[in-house]
Amino acid sequence: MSAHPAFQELDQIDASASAGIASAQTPDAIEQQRITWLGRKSQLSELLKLIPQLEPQERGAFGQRANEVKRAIEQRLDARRIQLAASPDAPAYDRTLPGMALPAGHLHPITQTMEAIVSVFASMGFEVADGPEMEFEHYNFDGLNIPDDHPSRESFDTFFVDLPSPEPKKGKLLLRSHTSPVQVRVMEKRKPPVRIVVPGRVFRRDALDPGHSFMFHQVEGLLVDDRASFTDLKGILQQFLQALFGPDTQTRFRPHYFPFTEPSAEIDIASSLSTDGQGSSFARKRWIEIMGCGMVHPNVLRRVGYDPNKVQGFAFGMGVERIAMLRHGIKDIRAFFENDMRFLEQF
Amino acid sequence: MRVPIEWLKEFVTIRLAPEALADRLTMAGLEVKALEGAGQDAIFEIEVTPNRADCLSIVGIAREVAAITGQKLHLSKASAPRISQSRRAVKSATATIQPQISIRIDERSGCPLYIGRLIDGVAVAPSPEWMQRRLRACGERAINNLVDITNYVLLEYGQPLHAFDFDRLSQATIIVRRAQAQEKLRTLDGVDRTLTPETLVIADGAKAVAVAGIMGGIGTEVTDATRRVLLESAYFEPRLIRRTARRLGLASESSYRFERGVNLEGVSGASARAEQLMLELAGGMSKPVVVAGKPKVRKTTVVLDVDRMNRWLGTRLTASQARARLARFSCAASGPAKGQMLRVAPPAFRPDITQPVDLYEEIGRSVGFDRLPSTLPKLETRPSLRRSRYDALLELRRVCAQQGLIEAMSWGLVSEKDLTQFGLRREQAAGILNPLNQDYAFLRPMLVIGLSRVVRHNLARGASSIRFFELGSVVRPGEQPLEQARLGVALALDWSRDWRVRQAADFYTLKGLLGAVTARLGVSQLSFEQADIPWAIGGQGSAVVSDGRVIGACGPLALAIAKLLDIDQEVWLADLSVDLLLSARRAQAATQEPPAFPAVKRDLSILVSERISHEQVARVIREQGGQLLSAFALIDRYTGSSLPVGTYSLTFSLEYRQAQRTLTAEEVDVLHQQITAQLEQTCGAKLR
Repeated sequence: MSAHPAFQELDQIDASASAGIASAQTPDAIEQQRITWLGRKSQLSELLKLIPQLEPQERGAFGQRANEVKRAIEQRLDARRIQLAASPDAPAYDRTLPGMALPAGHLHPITQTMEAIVSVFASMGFEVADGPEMEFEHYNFDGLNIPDDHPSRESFDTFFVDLPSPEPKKGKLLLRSHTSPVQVRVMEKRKPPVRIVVPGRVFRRDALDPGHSFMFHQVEGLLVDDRASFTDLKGILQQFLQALFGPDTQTRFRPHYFPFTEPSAEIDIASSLSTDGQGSSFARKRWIEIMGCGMVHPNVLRRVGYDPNKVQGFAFGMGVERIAMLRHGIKDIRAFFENDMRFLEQF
Repeated sequence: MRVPIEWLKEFVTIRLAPEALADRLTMAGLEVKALEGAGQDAIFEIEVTPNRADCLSIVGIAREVAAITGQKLHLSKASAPRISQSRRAVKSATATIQPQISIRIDERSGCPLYIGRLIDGVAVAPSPEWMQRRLRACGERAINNLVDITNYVLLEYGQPLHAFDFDRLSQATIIVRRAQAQEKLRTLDGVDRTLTPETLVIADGAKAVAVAGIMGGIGTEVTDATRRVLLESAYFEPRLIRRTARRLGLASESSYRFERGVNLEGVSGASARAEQLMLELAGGMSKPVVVAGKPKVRKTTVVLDVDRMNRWLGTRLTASQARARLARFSCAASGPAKGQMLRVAPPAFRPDITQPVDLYEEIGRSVGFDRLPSTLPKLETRPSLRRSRYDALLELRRVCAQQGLIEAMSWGLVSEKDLTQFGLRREQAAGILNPLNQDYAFLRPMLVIGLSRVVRHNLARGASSIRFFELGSVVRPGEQPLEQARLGVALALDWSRDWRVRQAADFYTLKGLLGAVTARLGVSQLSFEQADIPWAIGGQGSAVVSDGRVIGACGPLALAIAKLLDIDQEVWLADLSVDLLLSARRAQAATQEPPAFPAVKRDLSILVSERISHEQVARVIREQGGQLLSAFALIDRYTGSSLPVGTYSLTFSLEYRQAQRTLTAEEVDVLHQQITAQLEQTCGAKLR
């Protein structure tokens, strides 16, 4: 008994579809082929409607064969799609056209440098403290062993604010000329040990020029416990400077004078970063002054109610602009506050 | 302070090359800022810190050089023999020559010692070349032998001197007293000064002839005609001099030294030294010296506990090592040779040494800070909490930058003109009592002033997209707290632009940004309500509200202000209170698992009257959708001539979802239908 002619027709469909799909040249043509061979009105669909007319014993084999043909057509369609997509003639996009414009945000270089400094100290267990920019004379000066009519006030040429002091006992209102007042504020409230770092904005009556600005930023640090010594100060700050400027950074500690520390020192660094030629002309190395530090003066400790026979510690401070200028090779401090996008977008 | 090496060598043997000595001085705390010339002509420019008044002279620096190089100071070499000669001259003149000078000190606290010397018969002439050369090397101008000698001795010993033309004094009387109210004096710089009773003056019998310790008067100045000189050498109280100098806005080499404190024990020696030079270089005869005041030189003794010092410095010095170190700096230590306690007597020229800690410094300097070891403190291990206000502000900054904003930092000070331009009165900002100039005379009361200037700066330089934020403090008189942190945002031109899409920076950009920033911080959704914002275009300002509380303002910069600032673009500004923003943060909610069952999405397009706001429509959708409406968003808004007059169309994408099972199409159809019906009823919407 020969097979029903429908079986033969299935083979024909298979062959014609194979040829038709192979000749399709575009995705649209492939879709057309899919409709032709697998669509609702396709020859295959029509053929399947004949199943009830088949001998019952033939139905199973026919269904199986029809499915094979259908799957084969689907596979050929997919293969042809992949083939076409990969061909050099496929419709292309222009790789050289610009991508979507995504507005990029930027943190100010001062914010970034400040955070670079703060994060080193945070990793050493320092907490971050802050205080107001408009400060009382007491915290800015007297509490820090800088009495009125003392020549050391000269290094802090200060802006005074034309507002009545809300707490006359703490003196006049001024714009803080350093971040050190926060030392006093924190020590007044807490018992040792104290381990803080204080980032902030300060003001001094300096006329604007490439090296000076009446507004700038500092990071201040303070560690007071029962044993932190001058050699500890050296150790901590050397590690800090190497963390910030690289492991090859050399440091030197020069005796200096600050009213609120004794002994006081200034720290110079020499490193590959020091390219601004600020170092003394006579030195073999180019040393660049980077920060000030010292052991907290007993007068400062006494004024906050600490006993300088029992507690001791050190304080340090640095200018953020100066460090940012060194890190990024910036020549003019005013660039930070001009806010030119062409400058800011580089950070 | 300028220090020629050849002058220094008169007092101390120097074997080091100038460069090496400069290094040593710098590392001992006398920072050499510059080194001019070479070899014998080398001149050091030394920065002397305010505590080291004793180093404001050649002899003072020489003493320090001797201490750090282990040499001896030869004071006798140059001056001592000559001083003894001059004493003989005094004696020989005593008996015969009149007149007698009387010196009276009315203000002992301001002037504990005043020494006057009369030198008779001087011939005013240029000073010798060697003296002029040294003065020039130190930055002083040569005038004539008498004036040059006073300057020379000031540089040599650090003791300021003054020479009066004795014959121009009204009487042979010197009175150290307070100025009378409105008393007038023309000082050497040619300025007529009106004095106040706070000022200490030197007066003759009739009038003030000098501002004590600061500057002499022109009326008694030494001239070519001077024949008799009254030479003043005195001690004036530092604070008094400093106050007066500040009040008069007058500083001199004299006041600089007096306000830092001269050596009380050196007043007499300097006087003798100057007299001796005058006799040598200008001729004449000296008269007996008149000394007024009998100051008690207070002998300070400081007890040094060597153990305490070692703990402070981190050193392990023995008492005898400490004693030897101190001796190099002229600090003689007595007390038991074995014990840990040393009694130390600092020399008179070091009034800055008053406490043990001052001695720690001398010992540290003497060892050399660089030679002290570096150690690491033994610290209690504890994590840094990093939950400070600084961290909160840093997070806010980062969130702003993540949204595409550029951080600006503008000046914290503004001008009165800035205030006026932004419609503020003087009283609405805190003034600076001593401003640098009028451009920076007030503390900024708002960030938008500075931000507008930043916008202008960048517009003028051809920027095509302006998107700034600034986080900083402002001061507002009358508000509590006076100083507050604000977040400002400024947008103009395109937010973004490429060849496919161009998005202008407008209200919706600003609202989206603020929404994104606050959402990242965990602040509940913001709403924007029409409000009167002084710096915004009338009627277009908004109050920014979170949880029913106004936390800031936003709006387009008023055209009048823009015109004054020369800005010809629309600028959108926002100004938010950082404290209100941070306090509106909510604790992070528990994490939700992504839904397990699929959502059904339907679009909804309606036509409504222009009088109906988006929020009115959204509220109906939200309320009607209830629990099963898991999300909806406006995906299109269309206004155009193809629509009936006075209407616009809104298209929303709605997402329906049941948490526990898959919704059926029928359920969604019913709900969607309800929403549509309610929109028709409440908002008069027509389905499109």
